[in-house]
Amino acid sequence: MKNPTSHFLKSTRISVFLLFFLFFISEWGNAALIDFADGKTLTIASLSCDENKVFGIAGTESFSVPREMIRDISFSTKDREADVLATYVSDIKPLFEKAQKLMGLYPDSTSVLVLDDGQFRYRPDGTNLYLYRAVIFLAKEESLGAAEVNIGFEPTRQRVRVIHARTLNSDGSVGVLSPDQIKIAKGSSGEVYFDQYQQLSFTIPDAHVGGMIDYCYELEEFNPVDKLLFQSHFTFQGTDPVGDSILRVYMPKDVPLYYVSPNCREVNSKPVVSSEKDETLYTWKMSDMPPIIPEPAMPSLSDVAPSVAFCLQKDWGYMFKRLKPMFEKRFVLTDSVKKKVDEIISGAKTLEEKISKIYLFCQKEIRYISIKGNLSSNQVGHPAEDTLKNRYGDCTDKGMLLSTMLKHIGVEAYPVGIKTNPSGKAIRELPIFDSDHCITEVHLNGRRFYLDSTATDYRYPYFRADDHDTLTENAMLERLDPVPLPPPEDNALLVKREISLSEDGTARVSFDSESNGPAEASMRGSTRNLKPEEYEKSVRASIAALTADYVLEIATHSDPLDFSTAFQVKSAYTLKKFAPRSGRFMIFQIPYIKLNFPEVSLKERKYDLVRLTSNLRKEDVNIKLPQGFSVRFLPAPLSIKTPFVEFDAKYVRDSDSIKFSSRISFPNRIVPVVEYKNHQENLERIAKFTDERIFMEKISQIGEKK
Amino acid sequence: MNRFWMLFFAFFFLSPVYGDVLYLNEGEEHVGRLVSITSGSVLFQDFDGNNETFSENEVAHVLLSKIREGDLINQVASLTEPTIKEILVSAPSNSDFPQNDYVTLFRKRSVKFNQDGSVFYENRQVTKIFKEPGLDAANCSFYYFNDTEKLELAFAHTYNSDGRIFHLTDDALSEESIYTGTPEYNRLRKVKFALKKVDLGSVIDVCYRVRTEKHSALRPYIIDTVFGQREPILREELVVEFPNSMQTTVQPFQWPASGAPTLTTSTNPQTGETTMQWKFSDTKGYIPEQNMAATNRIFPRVFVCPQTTWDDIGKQFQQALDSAAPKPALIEAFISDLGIASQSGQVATLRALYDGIQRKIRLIGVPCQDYGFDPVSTDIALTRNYGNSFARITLLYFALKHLGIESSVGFVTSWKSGGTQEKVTSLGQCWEAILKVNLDEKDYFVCCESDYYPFSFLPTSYQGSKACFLKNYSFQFETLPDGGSNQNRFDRQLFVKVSLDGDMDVKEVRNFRGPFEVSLRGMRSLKDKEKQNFAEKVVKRIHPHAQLRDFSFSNLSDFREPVVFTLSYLIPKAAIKASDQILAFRNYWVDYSGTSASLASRTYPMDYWATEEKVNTLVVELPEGFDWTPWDRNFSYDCSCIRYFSTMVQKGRTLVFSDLFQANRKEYDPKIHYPHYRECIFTLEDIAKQWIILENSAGKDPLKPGFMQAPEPQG
Repeated sequence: MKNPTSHFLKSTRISVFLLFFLFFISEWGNAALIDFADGKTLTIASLSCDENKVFGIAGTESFSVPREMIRDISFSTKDREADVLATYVSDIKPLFEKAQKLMGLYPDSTSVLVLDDGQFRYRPDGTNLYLYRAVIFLAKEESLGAAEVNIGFEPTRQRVRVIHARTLNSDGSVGVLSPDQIKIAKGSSGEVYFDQYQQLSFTIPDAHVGGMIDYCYELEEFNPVDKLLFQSHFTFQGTDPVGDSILRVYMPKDVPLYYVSPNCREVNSKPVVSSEKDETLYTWKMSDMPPIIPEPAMPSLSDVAPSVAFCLQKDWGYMFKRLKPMFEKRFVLTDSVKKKVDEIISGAKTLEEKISKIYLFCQKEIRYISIKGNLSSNQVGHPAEDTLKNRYGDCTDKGMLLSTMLKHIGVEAYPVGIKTNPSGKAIRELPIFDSDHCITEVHLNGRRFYLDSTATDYRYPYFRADDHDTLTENAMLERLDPVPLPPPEDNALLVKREISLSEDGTARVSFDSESNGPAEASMRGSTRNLKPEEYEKSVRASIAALTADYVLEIATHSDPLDFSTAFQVKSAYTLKKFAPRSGRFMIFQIPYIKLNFPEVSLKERKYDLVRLTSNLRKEDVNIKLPQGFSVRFLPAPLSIKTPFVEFDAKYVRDSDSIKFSSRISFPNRIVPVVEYKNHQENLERIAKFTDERIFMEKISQIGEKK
Repeated sequence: MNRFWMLFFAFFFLSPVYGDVLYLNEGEEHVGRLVSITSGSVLFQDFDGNNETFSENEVAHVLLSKIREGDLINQVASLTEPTIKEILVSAPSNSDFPQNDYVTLFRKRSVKFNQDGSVFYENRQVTKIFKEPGLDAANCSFYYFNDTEKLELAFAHTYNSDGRIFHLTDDALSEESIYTGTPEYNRLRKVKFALKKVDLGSVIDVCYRVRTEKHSALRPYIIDTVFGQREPILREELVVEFPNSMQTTVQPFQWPASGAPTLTTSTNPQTGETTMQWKFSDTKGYIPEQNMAATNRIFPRVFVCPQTTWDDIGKQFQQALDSAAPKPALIEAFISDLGIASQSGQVATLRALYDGIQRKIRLIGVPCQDYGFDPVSTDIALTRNYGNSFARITLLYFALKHLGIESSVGFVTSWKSGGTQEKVTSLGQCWEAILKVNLDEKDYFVCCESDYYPFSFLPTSYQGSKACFLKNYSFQFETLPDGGSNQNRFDRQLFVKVSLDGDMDVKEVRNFRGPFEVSLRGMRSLKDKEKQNFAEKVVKRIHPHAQLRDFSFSNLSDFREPVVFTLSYLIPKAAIKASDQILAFRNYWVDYSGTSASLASRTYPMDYWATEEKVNTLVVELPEGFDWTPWDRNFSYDCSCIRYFSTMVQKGRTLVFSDLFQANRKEYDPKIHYPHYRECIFTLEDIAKQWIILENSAGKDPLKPGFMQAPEPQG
């Protein structure tokens, strides 16, 4: 086989100079892996560099290359060994039998995860190994995509080896992946995300309905960021049936393992513990797991599927001790940060005004860009100074900057990790990395509250809905605290309408609204992205949903960038012949009051019903009747009050008008499944009420036929 | 290298640039400048100029930030390049463009075709940010093919209003593969990056270059440019240079009489090169309109590509196609597995092959544009059971050929983007592959881009579009048939029994054809409980009190028949009882909206998604003694573009409503056709608002004039 190094050196036209090798060797260091800017890589025995060039020894040749040709120098990356894939399969028959059994139980399944086998091994030297095998029975065409496998890894810390990847056929034959089809590349991610991960990918050939795919790989963490932060979270159930789902954790005898087992039944929650040579083996096994059937507005899968999370510590002490210095290092009030804060708060009189201005700066002038590269940037973020300088950052960076800036005005604040509520409840019983977001905890006048500068349109002191009702981890204060659910009044939309009806059904509507909290932020966000003409067009499209035959008179809103007051919207329009006439009757529905609740569409549910946060909507409408008409029918008032929904609405008839008022609020975020029937009934009553009409009848004149 | 950049590099060694990132094994990271690595020690300098030494054993890796052109100039005052100096001096302020998110100050794209067949492309764009949404312009991404092209990001600078300049660092740059899982198709790469320190009022300046080493008829090189965008562009230039010996196709479209880009052509007798330069400026931008036709069908557009003929392209494609032929044993085994021998007739054979390929060859979502027009060996699809749409078409072509049935492989692009242009001799304008088979004097067009397309269904994006097909070693052009009522069809029949207390017992049958069936066929992968959840959701959308009794789907895997979805449900109190004599209800199943006709007038043409037909039939069994109060008006509209008819009659105890909506036109000119469309939509939504009022004529208890309010619900 051709020497790849020589080929590389020639092809990249690097100046190669043979020897004086011994002369240089004392200046050179350890082996390293070089990533070149053109995508090629080279493992070298020894390396040195100065401001302009990198020198190395590869094989028997030494060379030098200009620095700009190199993208990365790694001292820890290990070469991948050539993949040698196992071909022998001993368990085809029992695997097919298991698949058939599960297909018998769940015949409508797309696929069956016949075997889901994860083994973690914590080595005495602090490195660890994860061995995973999946065997998937392909029951429908839609499952064939499972043959495409992608495994992410961080090359300076981890190494992946494919043990086998093959198709199993019911006749006992096996189709094996060719090792040259295994590729490593930087996979594609969203426009704003930058990280150090690579992806090992392959597609198992000949995947077909009725067959199985079977792959196994080993992920070795040879350079863990912290040898004591060995931890993971393994889930035993998914949206397709699972045959055997097994978690094994091998630990050195003298190292204890701590675990929690969310959503596991008592019988499965504790492992079988056995002793194997110098190791203790913890095994959890769950078999014949039914598929989870998704429901609208159901909790996150992590809140319903049985799982086990484990780590080496029983409390947060070590984790906090490890992260706290990183936080403190970044939480530095430098001169430039102070100067910027002074500039931002200029003109602000009260402390609240100052906080508000700083909060807005971090939201609006720090662009969302996420750059992750190590434990520090992953968990703590970049220094406040860097984020300010770059004018970009992600949640950790923005949380750090906001906290640091608030410090300058004497406000105690901390970046804290949370798991956003759509992702489920965070594990806080053990020190597991289970946060997916960072917000800012503010301590002011004995009160603790939260701000989220990763948003872009929140008026102080409101913050993002997905942060509500979560659990924080505050490494700086070494505390775990709840983020409370705000009252519905903090996410409110207040609407006023004046409607004047004409005899031909034409309705002139004058609309005013004011909002706060997430509702306000959403309206600000959507309006600030539109030019005035575009906003007008969007209002037109919205009105045309009522009737395309309309005249728009006013479509304005307050300045979405003025955060000193609540956001207000105003419009006035005429809906021509909006109220249909049928003979002498006129039928009218107040525009936009109809409410739908798709979350209660199911007759029965298995899981709780979950919404993002609490909210409130209030409507006050005055309807002037058309000349010559009297009210024939008004819907009955409706009042409902439960812990999960409060509704109060009524039509009141006046001499020549009708006054309508309604108030709906959802004070709680989670409706337990036992309350579902009652809740569904209530929401359906509300939906029906809001779909009812006012019936008016033309008053007969003398001699006129009815 | 020109003098300007030489000056830049002269600065390089005078001033340190901080963009390297050192990652420590223990989890920390440092941003600064790698000074040296010697004797196992790494010397690193931070922002403040402090040096710190680490042992190599402590360091995981060091990411080096490339020094790009201009990266050593940190003040606007120090700039020497005339173009940017001039742009910055004359840059407008926010008050000049109060409504705009950003303004493109300068965009220049230069294409140079070289004698050796390579092409050099440079793109430079200078943008001034005015509003927060404009900040997104600071997040950039570019694409290229890694096997034939080299992309170089020349520079990415931010000029701030305080006169400072900031430069991109490589921790905010990533080069990514798009199709990693399937190496055969993994050509496309993306380079993305985020510019630093971009404030409102900042100017960003980005330049990248792509050198295409080789291109061919099947890996074509094409420039497709549209002049005009939502935000203003003050100065735009497109420059194309080519040797006189090399013929180049330059094809303009939609060239307006005024306001068009100006073209200057010059020839340099010394170099023997011709240069074409278009200049354009638009200080307003445009305001998008609802369902607006694609900008490449409205605004001036230029195609530039090496000149060739469709004959040449055809010959090369035929050759490539032949070399992608499968091994005879493999294709025979594939056909044999599908049981084709049992099919009677060529059409049945074609259909069986199509169904088999759709079922057995997993679709990889890589369009021809992201890979190329030279087919991957058909053996790969046959041995690995996957392929892109083009690979499926190629397999179908060879399977038919093996069975003695002739077919033509072709390529197509969407109708919305203007279809394939015969004058532009390049496959680069096409998106996807298509197969044409003429059997029994009928043309069958086959697309394989979705597992759920029924046999010979043309996706709506290709209906009415122009495609090219290989025939006799050349490509021939043909307009594909439009969808119309045969292909794009939805029928609904409803039987509703209304009881005296207003309850409705509903039986509903929905028939989907063509595009409407695609999403429903995808439901074949759902479990029974998920299908039930779907049906429950559907009826709740009709009425919040609707209670599903039963539902069924036709066999979703049987592509020979339309998808039929039947529902049976009860809507308690669906009709409002306004008195003992009056029952009133809305036609819940006719829910037309006027949103698409919200604009009284338009500037740009409107696109309707497809020609189509929708039919509703509602039969209502009335409660004893109640009769319908007629509407006294007709809800119909008819013109050549669009039609709507409805009827409502009472026959004995049944009330029969039926309507038909037919769209015969897809593009609506703002002056001529859009008013027709709007008028028709008025009619549709009028009927959607209309209530059905039933009066008890038998009792004839005269209506008491006066007011009634429904009693408060009990319980």
